[in-house]
Amino acid sequence: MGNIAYIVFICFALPFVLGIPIVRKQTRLVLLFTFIGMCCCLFISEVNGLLNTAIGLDMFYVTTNITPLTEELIKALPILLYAVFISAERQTLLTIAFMTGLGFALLENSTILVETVIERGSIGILWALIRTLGAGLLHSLCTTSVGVGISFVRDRKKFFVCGSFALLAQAIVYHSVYNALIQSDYKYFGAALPMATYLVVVAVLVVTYQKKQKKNQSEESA
Amino acid sequence: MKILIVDTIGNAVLCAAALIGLFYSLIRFFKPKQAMYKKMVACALGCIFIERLYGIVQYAVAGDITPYFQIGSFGNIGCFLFLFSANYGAVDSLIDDGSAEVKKYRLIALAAPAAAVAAAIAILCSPSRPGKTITCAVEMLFAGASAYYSFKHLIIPKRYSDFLSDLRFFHFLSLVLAAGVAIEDILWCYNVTEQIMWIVPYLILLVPVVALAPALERGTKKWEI
Repeated sequence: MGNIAYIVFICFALPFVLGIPIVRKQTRLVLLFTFIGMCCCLFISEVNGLLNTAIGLDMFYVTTNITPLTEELIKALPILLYAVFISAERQTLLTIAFMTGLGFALLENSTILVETVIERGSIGILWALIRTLGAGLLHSLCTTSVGVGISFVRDRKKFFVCGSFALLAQAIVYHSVYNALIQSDYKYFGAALPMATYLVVVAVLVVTYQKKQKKNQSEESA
Repeated sequence: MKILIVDTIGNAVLCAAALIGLFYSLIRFFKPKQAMYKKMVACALGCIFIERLYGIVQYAVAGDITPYFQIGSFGNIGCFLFLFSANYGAVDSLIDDGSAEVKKYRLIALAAPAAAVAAAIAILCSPSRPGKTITCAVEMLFAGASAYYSFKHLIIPKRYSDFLSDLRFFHFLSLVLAAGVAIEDILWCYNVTEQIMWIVPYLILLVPVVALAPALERGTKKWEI
């Protein structure tokens, strides 16, 4: 991504850092992990650049087989460390995992936006929608799936290592499928993939929440 | 090109079957108070679905699966890891306390990873590029680890694992899954071009993909948490 990535990072990430000491605990966690997501994006952009040069294969191969691996690994790392050393509480892990993915997507989208504007001169609303609802959601969903999964297996040693790696493997292949679709003639399917997954996740969360509410109400009335 | 058609159809059928199995297991196994074992198996089906989707997308977009390292293998690796985690983490310690009595079954069960290692060696000796063969060989090692516990739980007598005896068919299906993936990888690495040969692994794989979730549900009816 070159120098633009660093400039965009300074513009977008620094306000998050400045806000961290001001806000309250839960919001602080949100800001912190959004910032960490951005840092991951910046770091991995350099790593991917080096790998691309070292491998010497075409860009399509690299973006569908190498970058999903490196990006998912680096995004999962802060979640894994948080779960191991601080807390494995499911709701917190869900929040920080989603925010890490969001921070990653924010910096990636911003950098690509600036680069595309410089390159093409202008871009359309459709481009913005595909980038936001596609890549934006993809990064958040992949990291969230790993985070939520870790919260299930964290307290069981025999599950933890294999379970975490298996979840990561799942996220990596999902990311690769998206990257392949979005670069092809089927890019609308690519954009629809994270959106469809997101809608299923939201539906499940809403149903679970409603069930909990009903249960609480029935317990209170009893 | 004909191989591509068989491959695409095979992947599409497996993808659809895995998606149905995934939805079935999500609805049945992700209810409150369900064992982690079942959730792990649901995730394994999710891995199969994504792996097959990757195959379809690669053929549609790139025209062929790459001859180098291909990330779709992570789908199979994830699937075997989930099955391994479920068997090793949830139930193995309940039936095997490390006593000498069970040693015989532990040793016999080693036949499954041995077969996987043999498949890995055969793959490594194939004429394909190292990136492709190494990926498939690594896949076989994970399949072997998963198959060890599946085979062990399949052959262990009922007196050691009364609650597991109903899961025999499920373990048999897990072994069939590992065998199907092994055959598929061997055919791929040896660049086999006969269409009929390619139908074999897809038919073998279709059985466990379709039946894994129902077999697990039937086998765990007695389980209570």
